[in-house]
Amino acid sequence: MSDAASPARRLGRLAGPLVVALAAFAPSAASAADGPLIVNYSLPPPTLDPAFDCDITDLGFISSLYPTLLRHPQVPLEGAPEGVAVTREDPAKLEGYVAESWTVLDDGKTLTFKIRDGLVFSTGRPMDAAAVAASLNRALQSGACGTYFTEASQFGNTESITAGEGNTVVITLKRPEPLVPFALTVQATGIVDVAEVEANGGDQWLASHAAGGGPYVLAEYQPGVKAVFKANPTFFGTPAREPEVVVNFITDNATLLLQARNGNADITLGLSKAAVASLADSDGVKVIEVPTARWQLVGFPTKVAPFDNVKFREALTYAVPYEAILKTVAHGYGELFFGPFPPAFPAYDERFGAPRPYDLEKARALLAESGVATPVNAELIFREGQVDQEQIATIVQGAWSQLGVNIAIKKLPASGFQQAAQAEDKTALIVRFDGPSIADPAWLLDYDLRAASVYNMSNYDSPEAEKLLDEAHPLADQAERQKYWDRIAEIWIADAPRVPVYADVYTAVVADDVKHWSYAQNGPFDIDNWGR
Amino acid sequence: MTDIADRRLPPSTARRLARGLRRDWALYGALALFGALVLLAAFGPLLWPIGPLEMDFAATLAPPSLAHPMGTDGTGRDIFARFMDGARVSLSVGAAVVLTGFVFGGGLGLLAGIGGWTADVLLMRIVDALAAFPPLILAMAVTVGLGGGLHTAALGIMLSTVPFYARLIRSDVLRLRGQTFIEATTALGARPSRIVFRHLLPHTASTMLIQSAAVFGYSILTLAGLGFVGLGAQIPEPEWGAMITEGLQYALTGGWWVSVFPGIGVLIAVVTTNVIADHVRDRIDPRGQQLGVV
Repeated sequence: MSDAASPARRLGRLAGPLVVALAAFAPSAASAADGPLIVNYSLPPPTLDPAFDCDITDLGFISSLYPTLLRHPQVPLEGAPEGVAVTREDPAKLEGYVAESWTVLDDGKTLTFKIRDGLVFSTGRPMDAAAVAASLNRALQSGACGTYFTEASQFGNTESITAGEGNTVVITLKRPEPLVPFALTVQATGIVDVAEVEANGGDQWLASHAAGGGPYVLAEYQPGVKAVFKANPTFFGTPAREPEVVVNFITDNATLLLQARNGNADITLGLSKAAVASLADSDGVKVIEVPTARWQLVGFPTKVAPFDNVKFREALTYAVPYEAILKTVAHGYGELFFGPFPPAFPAYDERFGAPRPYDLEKARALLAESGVATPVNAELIFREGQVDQEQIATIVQGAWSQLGVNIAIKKLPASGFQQAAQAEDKTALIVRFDGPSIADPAWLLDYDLRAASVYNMSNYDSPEAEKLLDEAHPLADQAERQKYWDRIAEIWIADAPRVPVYADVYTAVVADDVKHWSYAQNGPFDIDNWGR
Repeated sequence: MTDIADRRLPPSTARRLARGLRRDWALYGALALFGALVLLAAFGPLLWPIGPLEMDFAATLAPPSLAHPMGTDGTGRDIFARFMDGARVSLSVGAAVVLTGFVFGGGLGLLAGIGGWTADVLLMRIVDALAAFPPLILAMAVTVGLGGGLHTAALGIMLSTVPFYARLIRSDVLRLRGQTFIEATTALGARPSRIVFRHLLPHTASTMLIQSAAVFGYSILTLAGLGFVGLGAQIPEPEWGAMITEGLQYALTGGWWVSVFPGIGVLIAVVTTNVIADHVRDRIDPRGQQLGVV
């Protein structure tokens, strides 16, 4: 869910200035309208195989290659810049995509999806119920994120996925799980032409090729360099806006920025917030801002003294200069809140999520009340290559030192960070960028609140909140569920298991000739809706 | 009786050095700049009212001004204050590396030179093993192995400089051992320790001085390199290399000063120490004079 760079890769930045210099003097591309849509992007995906893709941004990247059974409908984005129509997915709603309709039987354990008639993969093979069932079974058996999403995180809950009568796919569950339809919008469950995969030798081939039936086909792919998408003439839905899209992977922020400035890209994604801010008033480009349900957080190791002391944690939450971080780190592209749900999340209620003020006096009073003797020494970790998190860590370190809490900051390589962050017992404070793939409170709280979850970044353990989550989980009435989320938010705020630093506002830089842009729930990629 | 070996340099060389130095404006300039850097590192942090870790969120990324002569960084920290603290770190590490390299590398070279065939072969193979790795890679390997940080970075740099000293001192000692004055001193019954401390070491002083100046510059540059890739000083410690890395993100968005001033610090420290080493060597080495090399 976040990127990183090892020291060796960072050494590679020594070549950055040269690249920058060359890029600065490189001739501009021909008028974009004459050729393919050029997208420059900072994060090359590790694999193109939907079932093995786990990172939300990587999942988004393949969304135009593999249609899913269901999807979220598009809604206009308010506050978009003039001259460009911007839409985003409404994560609270579902609509059919490969499936034209679906039904959930009363017991909640049988889901039947009616597949559209006459669909074909780009290979020409039929995308019928049998092919869809084969694809979902492949994802289910992958043992990777395909399994996680097909089962909506309830491992072992799927009894069978079969092709039924009348071009239908039937998913039979052992226990009811209302989030399964939402999980089936995630690209890890995208419909793959399994026969084509098997004909080419299996999973390894699919890591760098495509076998789908989405709006685009993959015409060319050079891992880490570029991908060329061409409109799929056999696609069943609304045709893609552009006949051809070229995605260049450019990991160097300075080069990305120069390319955007020089007009060499129609769409630039993955720029640092500082770089985006520098382009905000530039001619020839527009900055699109999309509030997201993702946030930067500092997790407390709540099983370790003195972080097991609620008053101590609360004191620290009042000693974070939130506004300053929002200004200096996010350059204003963020929103402040304090609670388990960010403002762009469906369960957010401003009564239980208002930002926490920076109040050093109150922090000192709470610290005295906690009875914790200072100085306190602790370690704070974050993943290497995360410039924003490094700044957050530095500011928090400086702010908490005023309370006598001395933080040693440690950058960890991706593997080391993952190991430390997913350890059963966390021993360090963790700075992390996080957010759920499915915008449902139960999905978020299942991994973020439960004591047994390794993704619970604070080892937060509240039996009362977990009991409420268990009760809310099967409820279908949203108003009824909201009462539970509000109560859980109240408990969470009182316990302060972590510091939600700010909710992220996603930013995309688009050239003036781009007239359509859309934000997908999983990552920004919704390529078929982008165009000039 | 006059002991001719007690003379550190032949009078003609000393005179030549003194005469040459009188007109060597490049050397004066280098000494002045380096001296200014040392003074800034020693006294600057005591006199400057702003601390290197103080954050002023109202003045983030402020360009150079009277209040902040080198501007401020992304979290509002005064770059001049951090520059001076960074100079302290770099110069201290440089001095520590020179000292330890001198003691350990020089010691190894001396032992190899005077210890006979077995000691020479044994010790020089150890040195060869260290020299087999490019110095920066060796320093990185040590730092990665022991965990990033200023102390481990300094240790890695120290280790990488040992072969520089060991080889030079060994060759100097081997050359001096065959000289008439050493043979005469030995024949007169001087103890080995007296030969080493009164005769051999003083005659290697000029080599060591020049080598130390070069190593000083090298260690500052390497420390900056390790800091640049995140293996040197850790947050929030001000160190020039880490400061350059930190400033890269602002380089193209107008905040050039965040990287440029620590870069200038590295440039001054490295260039001045190299100029000092080069010019002193040229003045001392009569062969260079004869060839017209200055």
